[in-house]
Amino acid sequence: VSFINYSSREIILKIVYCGPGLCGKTTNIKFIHTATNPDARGKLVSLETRQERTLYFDFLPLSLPAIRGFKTRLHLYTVPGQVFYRASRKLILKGVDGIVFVADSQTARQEANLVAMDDLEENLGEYNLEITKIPFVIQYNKRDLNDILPVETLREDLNRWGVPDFEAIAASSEGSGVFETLKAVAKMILVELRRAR
Amino acid sequence: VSVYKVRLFASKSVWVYLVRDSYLLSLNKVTVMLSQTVLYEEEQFRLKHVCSSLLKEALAKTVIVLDREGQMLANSGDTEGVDLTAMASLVAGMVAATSGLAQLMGEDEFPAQAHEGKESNLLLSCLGLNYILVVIYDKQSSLGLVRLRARKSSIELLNIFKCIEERSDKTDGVDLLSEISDADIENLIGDAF
Repeated sequence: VSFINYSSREIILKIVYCGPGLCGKTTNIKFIHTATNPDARGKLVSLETRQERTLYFDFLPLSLPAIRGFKTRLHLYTVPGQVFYRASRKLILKGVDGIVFVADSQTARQEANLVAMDDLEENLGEYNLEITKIPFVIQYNKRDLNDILPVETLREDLNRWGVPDFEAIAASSEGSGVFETLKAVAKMILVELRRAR
Repeated sequence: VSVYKVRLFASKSVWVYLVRDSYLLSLNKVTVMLSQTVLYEEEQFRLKHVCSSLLKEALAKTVIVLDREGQMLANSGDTEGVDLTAMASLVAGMVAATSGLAQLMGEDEFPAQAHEGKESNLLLSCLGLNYILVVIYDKQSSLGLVRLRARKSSIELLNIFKCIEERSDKTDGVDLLSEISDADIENLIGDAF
């Protein structure tokens, strides 16, 4: 549900980061915030608890160069990962243009990944949306940790649709994989918007 | 039975009927599509005019109109030092959470919320199903006055929202991206980060 404002000549696109609790959604957003030129980013709003759990959402607005005189802005949101925040997850997905699913690569978290993916599908279903019909990418995060699953296993279990997927270490100083993931989903949204015309 | 006509997708004339108990009728007829809200200068000007009038009449500091997805549509008054983008997203989040709470309590909605601070106070009013009016005021005004004036303005605002939705319906997608190539998109994203 892109938003086009002719008065301020802006196109606003909403990207939501989903995934199980503590998989690194907020870490992705925080890395993007620190690594982006201050002129191209807005204020990072993070509603976290003391245990680094996102209570409601994180929000980061980013600016892209203009398209035919229209400034393009990306509004990045994360949803709370914990199972019991299902209601707020659903609310944040309202009006979404593209989704990033951040999976935790640790073996012990694979079940949580699967539960979160099912939950995402259900939440989208409630808005009459399907994963295959909206720009969607998967990120396998925490690739630097011990006791992680091979990417092939993660892919087989989580990427049933063959969408673009990326390995990442969002917590590293280079934030490897973070911008690749964001660029991929942003590109898919623009291609989809063009196609939808 | 109470039945509400609800717009599901902004860009197409797709309506479903929402029965009070949240049954969605005719939902199977709805197809998934990418939809968008388009705000033209004319409606933005009208929104801004109503915001400015309300600002004066309610002796408020700032008036903001946004949609429930957190996109700001218009504002008036003192916005210096206020991050309006962040504010719009937080207000939309707050209204969404309060709506969820209302439903848990068997209410359709809590249509207004007032927040009181040491210096500044905030009144949030839900306008129809899709929009929110925010009035920030200080000691020069009062909740009663702000609520009274906001109620009056909401009628005008709802008329303008109707125009925005009708125009968004008629706009079969804005032709901004049709001529850009894959390479353009690649460059755009590549240059951005």
